Amino acid sequence: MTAATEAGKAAELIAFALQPRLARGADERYGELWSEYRTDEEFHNVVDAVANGLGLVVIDATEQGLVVAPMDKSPFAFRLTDYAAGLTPKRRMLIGLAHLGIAAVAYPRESDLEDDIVVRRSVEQVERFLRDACQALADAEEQDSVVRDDEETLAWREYLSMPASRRMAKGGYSADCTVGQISRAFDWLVAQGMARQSGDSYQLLDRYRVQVRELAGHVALERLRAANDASDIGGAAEGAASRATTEDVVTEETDIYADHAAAPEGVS
Amino acid sequence: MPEDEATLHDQARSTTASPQRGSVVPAVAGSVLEEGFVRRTRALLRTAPLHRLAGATSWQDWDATAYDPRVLALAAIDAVVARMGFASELTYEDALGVVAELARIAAPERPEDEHVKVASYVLDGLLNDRDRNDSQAFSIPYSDYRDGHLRRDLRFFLLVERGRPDGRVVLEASADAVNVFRGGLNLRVEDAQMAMELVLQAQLERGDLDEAEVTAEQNQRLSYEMGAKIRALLDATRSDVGRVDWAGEVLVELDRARCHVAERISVEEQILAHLAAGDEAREDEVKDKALRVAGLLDGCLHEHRTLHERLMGASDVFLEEQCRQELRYRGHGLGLFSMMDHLLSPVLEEPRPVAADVGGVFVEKVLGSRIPRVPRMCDLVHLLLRRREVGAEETVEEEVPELSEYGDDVEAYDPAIVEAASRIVARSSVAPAKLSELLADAQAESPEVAELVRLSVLWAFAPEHDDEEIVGMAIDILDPGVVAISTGVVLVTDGWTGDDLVIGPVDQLVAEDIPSELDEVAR
Repeated sequence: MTAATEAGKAAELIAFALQPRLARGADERYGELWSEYRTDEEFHNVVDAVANGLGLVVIDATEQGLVVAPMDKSPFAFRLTDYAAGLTPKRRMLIGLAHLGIAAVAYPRESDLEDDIVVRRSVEQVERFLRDACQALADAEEQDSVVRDDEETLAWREYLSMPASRRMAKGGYSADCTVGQISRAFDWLVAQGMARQSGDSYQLLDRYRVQVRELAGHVALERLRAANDASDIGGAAEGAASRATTEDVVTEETDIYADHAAAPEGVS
Repeated sequence: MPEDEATLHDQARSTTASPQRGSVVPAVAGSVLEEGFVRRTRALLRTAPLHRLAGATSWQDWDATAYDPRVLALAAIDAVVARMGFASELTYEDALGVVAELARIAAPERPEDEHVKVASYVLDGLLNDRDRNDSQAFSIPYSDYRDGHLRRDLRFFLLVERGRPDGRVVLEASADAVNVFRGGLNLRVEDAQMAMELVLQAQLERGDLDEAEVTAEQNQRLSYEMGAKIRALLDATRSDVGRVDWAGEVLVELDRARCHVAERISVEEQILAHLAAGDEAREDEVKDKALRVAGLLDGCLHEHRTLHERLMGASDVFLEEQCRQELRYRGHGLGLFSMMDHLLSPVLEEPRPVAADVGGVFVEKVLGSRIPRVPRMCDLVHLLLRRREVGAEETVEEEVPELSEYGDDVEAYDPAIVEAASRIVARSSVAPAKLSELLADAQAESPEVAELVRLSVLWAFAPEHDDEEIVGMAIDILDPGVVAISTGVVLVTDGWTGDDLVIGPVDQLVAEDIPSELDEVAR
């Protein structure tokens, strides 16, 4: 076996991994390469190296297939602009909360992230969960005798100010309500192979749990820590720091294709 | 399998570490200090979800007296176990159909959708999914008197959904569920199976093939139970090497399991050989039965051989997993985290820029990869001509104040105007009406009412997907079930002109039936 054929096979496997809705059992060749990845250490290393060259990291090989995640500068990296164009800050925050809410309602405790099972959750459940959590913060504040003069709008306050559901004439929910954003979030997870719709609820697959546990959760935690560290240094620094990090996310080369991919297939 | 399951994947965790030493258990209740007592307690707790199912039916909108949720739950676990390990494993929908059918037999006079409701109530209860915003695992506290007094939590699953390599998501019964199902709550699996084989051998020697078939079936279920336990052990290793006491007990346990499985294989081979030896002499009907027994035993043998292979490779699993887990992020000092306590709760208390930022990176990472797309040629002209919003708007957005944040929406219509306009357009949901007629009525009220009517009809005719926020109010007043169609007649009014439209219920104006979309709207 020459190095070239090995590299070719590795690239083939990565191409399969980049189709997250394809399970390894559904394609014989995928299954073959997947087993080889699990058993042949040399091939394993070649795959990891080829993936890294493409700006991808192999984060797991679950029963359903290889899970790869793009590194920050990878051409495969997912951007919020892929999600929707021209987001207002408020809308962007809402999208983030919807996704954090889905993950939190699916895996509230540490041990839940380790259970190798499919979890089923519904849009209403996530919305109620988020709303209850925000309401609890609101209640706690009322009991708090110290009046805080926060100039900034806190996330929970914004969430509570949003209507739960607002239907549109063309069907579905408006993007300006929490149910609308949560169901869009689920639709995206389905489109990205992280979940499957089943009746009124969604089955969150292994790939999703791995993605939350190995990557998204940590990156978000680090970002949260960085923001809090900045606020410890001083109020002025906080503004600058959060603005800097925000720009980091937003800065995006204007992309003629971005709009084209603005909604997952089958999502209006 | 380990004597004290608490040390392994069952994860009994002490909640209050306040053993009250010095207090003495009454002699007559001395059994609470025994290992076996704790095992029985834990076995008993695993049936609690079934009883809870039966007890909570008063919350449901169906009359529970006709059904027995406990029996339905047991039947559901049974059905799942019966197919475990086969290609035809039950999906949630399959199981729903099975349980709904049992419910129908129990109460044939009740409507069909009620049977489905009962079935999903039972299945969701076993999956621990019903309206819970908590872990999927059952967690039940109990008292442990072995060391003073400790409150412990027993964490377990009954049914779970799992993804299969071919992409299907199927139901699986946990080892705990197989225990509940089997009913022999305090028996060691291995012992029961050994006994079962002896019974089987005796039955075959007597020629009781009917009995033997039943026994062989039970034997097969036991094989799956043991399989589930061993897999759980190996999976526990896989999920976290550090959590398993590998050096001490686990290796011993795996060794015992390996011996046990090897023994089962040899016994099953003996029985099969015995069956084959008598084959020639039997009559046709008896032959069939013998074949069925042999088939069941073959299944067990296959399961055991697979297990044996896995057990032989168990130490490799350990080494492999240790290597793999070292490479994980948690190996870099970050550790596992709780989505709720460490991430969502703190984020909710952050100001918007931080919350949007943290949520933003979470979304980008959680959605995985994106394959860059090439636009289709037919879209290219449209893409080039459209107003460029991406990027430009993103960079300036921080400075743009959002009007809706300052109390009332300045663009919103007065409630009285909305009400008047709603009243006027309402008739279009009953029978078709012309835009010109509606406008005439609206103009009589006020110019603003007319504007709102015009906007909402325009929306129904040609929805502008980019402008949801602006038309939010306008679209709300029009019945979602109406459509607008051009009449071809030109309508001229003050300030604007265009085709007159006819607005009415979709089923009266449009020939083709498009019920699926309408159903969605109605939901």
